[in-house]
Amino acid sequence: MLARLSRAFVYRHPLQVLLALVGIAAGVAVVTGVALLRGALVESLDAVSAELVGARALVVRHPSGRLDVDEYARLARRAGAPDLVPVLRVPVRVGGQRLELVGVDPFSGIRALTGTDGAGLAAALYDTSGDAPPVVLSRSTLDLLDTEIGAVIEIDAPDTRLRVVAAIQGRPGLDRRLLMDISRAQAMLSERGWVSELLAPPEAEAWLRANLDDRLLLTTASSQRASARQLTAGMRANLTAMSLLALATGLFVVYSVLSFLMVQRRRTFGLLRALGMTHATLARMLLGEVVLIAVFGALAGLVAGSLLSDLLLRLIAAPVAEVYGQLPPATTRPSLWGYAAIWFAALAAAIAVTVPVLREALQIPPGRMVRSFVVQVLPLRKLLPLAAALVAAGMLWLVLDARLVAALGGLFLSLAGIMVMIPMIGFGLVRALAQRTPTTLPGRALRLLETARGRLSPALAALSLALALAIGMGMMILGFRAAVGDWVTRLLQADMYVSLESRELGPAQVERLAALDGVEVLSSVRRTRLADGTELTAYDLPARAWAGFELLEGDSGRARAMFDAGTGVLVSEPLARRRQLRAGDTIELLAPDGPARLPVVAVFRDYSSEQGFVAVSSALYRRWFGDPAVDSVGLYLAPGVPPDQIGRRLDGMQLGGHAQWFTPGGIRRESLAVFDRTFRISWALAFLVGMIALVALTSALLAQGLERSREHATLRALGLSPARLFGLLTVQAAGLTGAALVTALPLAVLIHYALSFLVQPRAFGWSLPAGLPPIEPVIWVVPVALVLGTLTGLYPAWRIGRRPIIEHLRAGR
Amino acid sequence: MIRDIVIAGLVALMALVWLVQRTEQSGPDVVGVSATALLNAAPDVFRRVTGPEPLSFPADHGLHPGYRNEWWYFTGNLADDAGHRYGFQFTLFRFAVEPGERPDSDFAADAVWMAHLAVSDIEAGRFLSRERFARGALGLAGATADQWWLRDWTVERTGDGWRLRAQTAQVALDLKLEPEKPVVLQGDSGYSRKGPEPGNASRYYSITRLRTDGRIELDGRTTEVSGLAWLDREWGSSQLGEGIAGWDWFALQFDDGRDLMLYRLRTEEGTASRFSAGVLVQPDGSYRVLGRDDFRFDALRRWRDRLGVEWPVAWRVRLDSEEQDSEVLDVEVRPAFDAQRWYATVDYWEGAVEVIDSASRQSLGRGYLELSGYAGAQTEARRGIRVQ
Repeated sequence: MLARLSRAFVYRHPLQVLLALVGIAAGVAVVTGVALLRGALVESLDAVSAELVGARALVVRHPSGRLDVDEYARLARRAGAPDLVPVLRVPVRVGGQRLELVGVDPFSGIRALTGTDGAGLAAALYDTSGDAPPVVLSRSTLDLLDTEIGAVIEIDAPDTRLRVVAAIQGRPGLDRRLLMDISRAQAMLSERGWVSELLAPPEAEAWLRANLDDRLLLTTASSQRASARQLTAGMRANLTAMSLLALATGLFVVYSVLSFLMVQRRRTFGLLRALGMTHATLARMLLGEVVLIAVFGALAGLVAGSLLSDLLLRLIAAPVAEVYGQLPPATTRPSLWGYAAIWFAALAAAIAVTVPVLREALQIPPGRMVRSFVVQVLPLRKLLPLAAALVAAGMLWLVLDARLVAALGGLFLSLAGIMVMIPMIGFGLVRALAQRTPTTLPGRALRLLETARGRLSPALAALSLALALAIGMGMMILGFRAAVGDWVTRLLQADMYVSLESRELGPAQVERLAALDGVEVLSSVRRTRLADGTELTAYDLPARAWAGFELLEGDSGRARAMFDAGTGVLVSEPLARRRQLRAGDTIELLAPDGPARLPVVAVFRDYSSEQGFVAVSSALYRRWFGDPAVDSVGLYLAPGVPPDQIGRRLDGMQLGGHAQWFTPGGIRRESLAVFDRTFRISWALAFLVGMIALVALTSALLAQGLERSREHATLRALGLSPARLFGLLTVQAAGLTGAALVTALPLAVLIHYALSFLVQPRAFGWSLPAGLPPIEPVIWVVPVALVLGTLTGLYPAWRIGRRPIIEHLRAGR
Repeated sequence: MIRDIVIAGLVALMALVWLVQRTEQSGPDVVGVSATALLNAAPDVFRRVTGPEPLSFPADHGLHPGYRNEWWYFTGNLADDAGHRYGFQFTLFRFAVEPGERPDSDFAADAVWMAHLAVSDIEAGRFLSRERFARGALGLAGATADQWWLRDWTVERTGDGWRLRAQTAQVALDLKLEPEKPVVLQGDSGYSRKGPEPGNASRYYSITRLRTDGRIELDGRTTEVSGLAWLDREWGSSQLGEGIAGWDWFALQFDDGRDLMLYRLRTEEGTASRFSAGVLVQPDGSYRVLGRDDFRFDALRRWRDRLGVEWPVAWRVRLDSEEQDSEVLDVEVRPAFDAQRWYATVDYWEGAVEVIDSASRQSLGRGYLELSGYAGAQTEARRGIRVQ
């Protein structure tokens, strides 16, 4: 009978049940999507060596990124040599997608890889049946590029056509890679003489340590992946925080929908209780329904989340490549365990939020059929201590623990505390507004809301939080964007910058640039990585360029003198924060001829690298490494010389590679474009959270509308036209949204500052300059929220308006 | 109601199946080639062996460009002072890449080289095998009159003999091999026909008895060993004719000083091709070439490997020519142990064997047996790959 009762209810209210399903599904979808995305950013970054040799593969590199091919041949023939796999890795673009061309020797110690057609890698790469060189792609890359086996693809840079001959399934580390025979790759790039790295099996470590030239670096694929992972740690932490917020909002939806369903059946429950149904049986029936909805909702959420994860991955792939130099996989790789964990968690959470609804249902006395049942609102004296305790706990965590998790966790707790207070403030506002126009329809409509406080409070809090998040995050992003723009503008002091495509500039080339007519002075940059992984950047800076450093600590005059003399180094803010360095401290650098201890003379602002780096003078760098090459050169032009004119001359110069030149304006534009791409995913998630919050609002309004149906019927009976009733309900929706917005604004400013000054430094290592929050997000979000919020009132209004008056007057359903 | 449950269940099931499908990872990557496939076809640009040609040594120990394939093949039976016995195989294969325009690269190769090193630890019944590849570029692999190598696996000529050095993580060989008999030219003065077409032939010579001394390092323990080895050298293009499924090849060294090489080219119907052949070498190095009708083999026992492929590892071999004065032999060839099968790019069984007199059950000698083409039908269907 229970099942039949449930079924009858479901059939009578399919839309409401659907709403509950959507609520759970949406929350689960966002959590699943982000969890899978996190996985993709953890497991498969820079996993190409692991895929080619094995998870614990060793990687041999030269600091310059180019390992002499003769060195490889010598090593490979030495007694006891392990199976070395020479690999050539070059970034390329295909149809706007960033990919990597990976030249491998299929006849080396490479793992046996089989294409989906069963052909081995060697056979595939030695396919000589066509003109274009053959490439092998992973199945997902094939889908990503929307191409197929047998098709010809064109890569942008060297303008070359490649023939797709096979696809490999299930090796995510090979995603976004074009696998090619190393001889074809070398020939195509006209790059003889070097390979990017050598891979070796893990058991070769002792042999390699004994036989490698001192200048070669030995790392493991797993440590390489770990550092790739570390790169994206901040990004992932932020994503997780967003997904948990989405789940929390989703659970609000579940709560409001369930309570709404409960409200509708109050009469039935009263009847059933009167007929002798025990608490236990009633509880079983309700729980059964919740479980059923949760089971299906969560399943749908998993499916939607998996699809969402691929969309999010698309959003994030470009910034991960641009900002971190890492290629994520083409699709996310869920595991059954991961799915099961999320599914069970969603089930548990759904049951947990049902508890208050269940309690409410069980409180219905037998025979209660007519009078409605008012949800109790907790009094202020009970709420305040709870809110204060949550906020205090959050603050305490924030202050005592310097980790990122504390920043996010503390923020969460504090927000939870504030959320407890939001309904109180929100309804206070509604009341105040209603009192201003007590006799008009809007005034009455708003006053009616007050009586449904218990029902509407969670939805109001959820909506307020979602709006605050969207606005606060928007403020942070725009503030950050402005800071990055200012930083780039300040940093780029030269009139134009010159580099060679994927190649360094030698001293002769630099001299030729310096000798150009109209060029007054040069600056140069050379980047390298020390044996312990510390990034080192060597600068040759004329006086004008020095102004590009915004020193956060240290005295500029003294810092410059010591930097130029090679007796001191500068460190970027992220590195200073990671290593807890301050101006005046000493840093140990693993120079090629032994560790060197140098004072840190200043800490400067930098947004280019989350890991941070040490800046040294190029004179000191050359003394250490004996390397005269530079990566790029800044040209300071004589007054009145346009950069275009120099640029045209550069295009005609034979610099031994494709010369690229940029103006500061161009670099700034490109940097901000990268920035915008990086934060697209945050906008997307904020939007999702906002949408879920709107679903919560719709269901809450429906619930309260139904609960108040007897009042509505009375109003209708007293002469309120359906149109006026419609207006009344719409005003209520708009009023609630307005209240949510007003409470959201201060919260948004709080979130903005917390993200800018607590989360950002802990996640990425850099701070943002203090200032007033940007106003634009308020301008964008407020009208959109008001319109959407008001729209959410339409459906409940329509439903309530079309019910027969008499029935409701009689039954109060 | 039941209908609703069924529909909901079906939808849920579809979602589940979709989710499970997304979690699927790749299966194991296995690549195998039939040895026969490597030898029965070659584009016309490659030179063919079409008749006898004089060979000169040591020059012909080096590689012969222009042919599709060539190999250097040592097998042998060794024992240490304590009587522990070992079999070993060291093989270097060269597969030429079709001539044509090569990419302008350090890695541009004219050939792909494959080396097989196997040691049969007979007492322990352990077969340790290792396959290596290298492209013929950057000096990674090659063969001259004086040295044959693939990376650090090398065979250096030392006067008339050779020194073989090769190691893997588990086993290392350092052996001196000195010929006890002169070179045997197989077939018609080294022109070994294997099929009806003019190009279905190889150049083939052997040194059937090499005194071998040196060291085997196994599990970190080095043992002095000595025994007898056998060298086979062969090159050509498209050696095998149409319809050949595989071969059974015997290299037997008798205690009385005689050596016997026999191979049966097996047709797809399972019969011996008329191009099956052999050679019987006397202690003094004189030899007699054998044709198909001079010998008979019968499989006595089959061993099933872990992939389910059955290999005829024990045989009865009879020499019973109708010619006058010809010797008669009736022996059983038994594996030192069964599991001497290569699970590598090329599927074959190659292992140390004992020779026993069929009548008296006395041991007569030792040798090596190679079985090929048995895994073909199954593995090709399963893996289907050609190395070109």
